[in-house]
Amino acid sequence: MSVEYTFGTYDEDSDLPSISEFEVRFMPLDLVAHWRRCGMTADFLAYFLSHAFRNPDSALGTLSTVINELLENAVKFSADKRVPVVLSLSHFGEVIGITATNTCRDAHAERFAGFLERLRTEDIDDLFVSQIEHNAESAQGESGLGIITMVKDYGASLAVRITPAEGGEGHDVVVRVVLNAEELDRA
Amino acid sequence: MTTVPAPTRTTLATPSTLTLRLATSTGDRMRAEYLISDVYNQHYDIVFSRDLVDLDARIEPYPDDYLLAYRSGQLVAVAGLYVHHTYVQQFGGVTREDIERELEKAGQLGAYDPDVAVEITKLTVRPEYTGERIGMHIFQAAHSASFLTREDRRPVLLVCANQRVFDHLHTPAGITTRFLREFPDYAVHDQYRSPDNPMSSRLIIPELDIPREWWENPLPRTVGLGTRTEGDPAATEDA
Amino acid sequence: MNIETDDFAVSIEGDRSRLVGVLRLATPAAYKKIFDPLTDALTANDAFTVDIVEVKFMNSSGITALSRLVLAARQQDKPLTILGTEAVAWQKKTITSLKRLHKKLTVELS
Repeated sequence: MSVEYTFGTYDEDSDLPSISEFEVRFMPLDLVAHWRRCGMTADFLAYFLSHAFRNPDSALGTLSTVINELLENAVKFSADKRVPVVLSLSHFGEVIGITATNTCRDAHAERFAGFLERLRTEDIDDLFVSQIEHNAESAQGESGLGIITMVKDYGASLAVRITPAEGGEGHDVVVRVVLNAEELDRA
Repeated sequence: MTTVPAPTRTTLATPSTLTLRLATSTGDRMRAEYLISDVYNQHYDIVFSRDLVDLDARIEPYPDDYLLAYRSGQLVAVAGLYVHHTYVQQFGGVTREDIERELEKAGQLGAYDPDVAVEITKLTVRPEYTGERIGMHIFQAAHSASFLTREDRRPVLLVCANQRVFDHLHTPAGITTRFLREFPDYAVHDQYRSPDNPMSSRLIIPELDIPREWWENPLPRTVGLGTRTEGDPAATEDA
Repeated sequence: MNIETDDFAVSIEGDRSRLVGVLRLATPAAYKKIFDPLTDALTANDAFTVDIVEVKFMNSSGITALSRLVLAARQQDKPLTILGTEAVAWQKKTITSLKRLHKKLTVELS
């Protein structure tokens, strides 16, 4: 089974020059083995970015929250916890792009594409409530609540590409979140 | 849903134009700071910080405001402005009394408040764009009411530079600079000053000392750039 | 009832509880240990208050767990109050949305 799905405007070769680039690459196993490293890494990357803001403290909370959600998802849904996850930050001045890349199982790729299709077509406030009600009944994961809040509450633009993994099992998932720098800087 | 704004791509035509405007957004300020850091690090081995500043350790403070110069969609020069704590007061030992003294000599004590001062700083041209008189254009635009004053701010202007900058930029431009103090020695300036090129802090009384046509020039504005000439101001004005 | 770790602390006293710190546990299930006692306390009282003012971060698994408490209050038809603060991004942005889950949920942001 193979899934090919694109959500949002996924522009791989945007020729807008970035001002600042920062990337971390790690084995998801590192974070699974010590879960607190997720939050630590998110905080670190948020601090890194926050220095470019006039109101670093106000930017920090949003940045850390959004990065943490991306990071947790990339780690949780990595099929092989030894295959590296890449998290990259690109600052374009007006917008900040945060991109997480990981390889997931086929079943997750299908579920995720299904969820994104709902995100694309349904009212996001209704989807938020319905996912919470759904979560309450299932003992399973939070099924995209993190992504919903990023878009609904943090004004994030979301772009996702799901493609069959190159020369292997599973699917490559690239999730890119774009945040408005001006909004982040508002005290 | 993700829309990254398209870059401004103008074909490089000669003669080209230079657009001068104030920095207004987070992105504007970030680009200005990155350009300053890039050039100052390369020229003077300086780093910048917002919280920990140490001139002897080559750590400089960032300005509070910026003037930007764009050529063909690219940021090619910036001028900074200290608004809250000026460099000459913080590090140059310039006091309120120094400013008062010079205002009094000029008969301007009632016209200006010695406590309201700004300082033009970190005038920086991207090195590959020197020789087009971009430095002169941004130097000019920096000495305008549009950059220096605000509704609630009618400041005196402070500046610190080495003698060569005063001789080659201010004097030919017709800008009067009034000596306040020699600038104390800091390691951060060791490649910028020398015994025959001393550094000093000076006062400029805007409406008296800046040519009227410079002072009243509005921002934003676009100026034509001629062909490349020699003798453009150096890539950086001061440290 | 009190739970205290390096990252967070939970205390319950009668019809009030207080969460403090950073809550970024791995899964909604991992939050059971924290939220089950809260649900019990809610069940034992006519109304319940959760103070999250000092919760700096809570991940989406935590929000799922917190909303389960809201759903429990709905099921028992009891008033629930969440005390938060505007100063913390996730509280200001996400918590008010929980009101849609339960008519008797009050969110007070200081």
